[in-house]
Amino acid sequence: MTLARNLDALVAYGRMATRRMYIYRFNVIMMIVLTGITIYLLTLLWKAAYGDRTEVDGIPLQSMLVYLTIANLQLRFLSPEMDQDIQERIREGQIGFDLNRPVGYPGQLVAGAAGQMIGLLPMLVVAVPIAFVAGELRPPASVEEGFAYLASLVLAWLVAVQMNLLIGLVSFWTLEMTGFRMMYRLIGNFATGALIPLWFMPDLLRSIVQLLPFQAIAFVPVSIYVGEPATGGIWSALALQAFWAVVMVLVIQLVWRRAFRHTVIQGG
Amino acid sequence: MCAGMHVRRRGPGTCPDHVSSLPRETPVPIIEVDQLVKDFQRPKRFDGPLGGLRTLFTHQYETTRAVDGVSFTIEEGELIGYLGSNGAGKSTTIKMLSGILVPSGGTVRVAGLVPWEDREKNALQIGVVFGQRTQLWWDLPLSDSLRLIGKLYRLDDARYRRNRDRLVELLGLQSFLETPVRQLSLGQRMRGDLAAAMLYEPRILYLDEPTVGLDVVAKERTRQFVEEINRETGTTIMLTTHDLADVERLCKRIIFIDKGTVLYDGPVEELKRRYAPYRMLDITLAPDGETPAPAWLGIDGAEVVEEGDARLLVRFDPARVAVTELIPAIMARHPVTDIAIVEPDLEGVVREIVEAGEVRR
Repeated sequence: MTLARNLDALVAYGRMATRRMYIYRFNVIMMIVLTGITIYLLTLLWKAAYGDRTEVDGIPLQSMLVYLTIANLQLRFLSPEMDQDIQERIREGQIGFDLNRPVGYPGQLVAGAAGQMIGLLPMLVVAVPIAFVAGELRPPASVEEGFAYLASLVLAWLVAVQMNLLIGLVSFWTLEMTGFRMMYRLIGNFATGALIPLWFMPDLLRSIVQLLPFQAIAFVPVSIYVGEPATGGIWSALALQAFWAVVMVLVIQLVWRRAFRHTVIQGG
Repeated sequence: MCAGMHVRRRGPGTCPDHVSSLPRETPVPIIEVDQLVKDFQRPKRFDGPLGGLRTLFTHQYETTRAVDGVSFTIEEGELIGYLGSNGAGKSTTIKMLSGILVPSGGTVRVAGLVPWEDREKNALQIGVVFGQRTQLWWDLPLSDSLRLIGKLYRLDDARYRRNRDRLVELLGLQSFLETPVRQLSLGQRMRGDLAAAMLYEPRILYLDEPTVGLDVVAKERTRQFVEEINRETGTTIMLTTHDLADVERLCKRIIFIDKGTVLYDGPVEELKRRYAPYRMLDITLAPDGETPAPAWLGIDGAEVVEEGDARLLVRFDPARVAVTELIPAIMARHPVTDIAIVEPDLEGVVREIVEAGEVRR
C-alpha cells in the first residue's frame, strides 16, 4: 500500500489520537508538573556540583542549567507510550481488529503518535512557564542554532517514536514485559543524556552511550540549542540523528515482519 | 431447497460495482474453503517443582490441531450459521478467513483473494463483529469511531454520510452517538459495533456471537438488523453463535463443526428432520370434553403420547400423515379450544450431536 493512498486514513488516526490526548489533559498536566519538579531538583544538584566554579570542562553553569531544563522539558514531550498500548491491545485481544485494518499496524501507531504529539503542543503554554520557574530558560545560542535545533527536534521525535514502537513490538512474543519496559525507560532516560550530559559522563560510559541511539532524543538536539554541538558540529550532529532514524526504520520493518508472522502463525 | 435462495441482489444504490459483472441467476461462491488445517504449537509444559524452569529452557513443543480438514463453500448472499461447542475451531476458522491467521494446510479463497496474503485488500471487503470485544475507540464518542472507520475504508464524504445516516436510523444510534463508547450499555455498544462493521458496505460480514450477553429486546433488534442487511444489501454473513434462537431465526443453512471437523453442512430443516422426524400437536380440549383413550386415535402415523386433564399431546410423522387430515379428525370427535403444532427445537438436536460426536445419516 502506498503512503499516498493511506494518507487520509493516517491523518484520521492522528486526529483520533489528538482528541484522546485532550481527554487525558489533566493527566498530561500532572506529568508536566512532575517534570517541573525534576528540573528543579536537577538544577539544585548541578548548582551544588559546580560549587563556586562558573565553568567546568568549558561548559558554563548557565549553559548547563539551560541544557537540563530544555532536555527534561523536551523528554516529557518526546515520550510516546505506544509500548504500553500495544501490550494492552494484545493482552485484551483487541489486536485482531488492528491487524484487520486496511492500513498496516506500524503505520497506525506512528500516525497515532504524531497526533498525540500535536495534541501535546498546546500544553507548552503550561510547560514553558513551569520550566522557566523551575530551571533556567534562555533563547538558543544563535538564530542558526535555533533553526538547527528545530530540525534536530523532528529527528529526535522520529527516533523516540520508533524506539518506543520497537520496544512495544516485543509484546508480540511475550506479554510479561512490564518490568522490562521499566528498566528500558530508566536506562533509556539516562542514556538520552537528560540527567547527565554526555560531556560529563566517565569515558567508558560515554563511549558506550555514544554507540546507542538514545542520545539522538535529548543530548544531540539540546547540545545544539545551547551552542555546544556534540560531535564536531551541527551538521554531523544532525547526520548522526538521521542515521539512527533510518536505522530504526529498517530494524522496525524487520522486527514487524517477524512479529506479524509470529502472531499469524501462533494465533493472537 | 436452499441452493436457489442464496443468491440475492444488492438493493439499489448500494455498491452496484460488486455485482454488476456477475451472472445474476447462478450461485456464485464467495468463500471457498478446502481441506483447511490449523495446528498450534505450544511449548511443552513440565510439572514438578522445577517444571516452570524446564518449560522455559527446553524447546519441546506440543502440537494441537484446532482445525482438521474443514471444507465448505459459501455463496454470495448466504447467511450461514457456523456452529460448534467451545473450542471446536470456529474462531480459528474465522481468523483464517479474515487473514490474521495463516493455516497449516489447505486453501481459502474469499472473494477471489487469499486472505492472509492479501490481508489489507481483504480487509476492505470484510466486516467483523465480535460480541465479546469492540472495535470502537473506547474513550471517544461513537461518532468519532464511525468517522475514522469511514476514512480507513476510503469512503468519500457523500457515501460516508449516506451509509452512516442509514445505519444510525436502522440501529437507532441517534441518542447516544455523541456518548463515549465506554459509557454505552452492552446493547448500545453492540449496535455501534454493527454500524462500524457495515459502514463501508463489506461484501462479507463475520459475526462472532453478536448476541452474547444481550437482553431479549436487544437480541431481537440485533437479529432484525442482521436479517435486514442480508436481505437488502445481499451481504454474505457467517454467524457464529451459541444462541440457537439466532440460528433458527436467521439461517437456512448451518455448518456444524466439532473437534476441528465438519459434522454437518446443510439446511437447518434437514438436520431437524433427521433428529426429530416427528412433530407434536399440543391440544387443549374444551372443559366438558372427556379424555379420549389412546386407542381411539387409530390414525396411521400418529399416536397419543401424553394425556391429562383437558390436554392431549399427539406425536405424528408429517411424512405419513398430514396435519390437515389429523386436525379435522380430532376436532370431529372432540370440542377443542386450542391446537399448537410444536416444531422440534435445534437445541436438543445440537446437544445430541455433540454427545454422539457425529451426525446421524
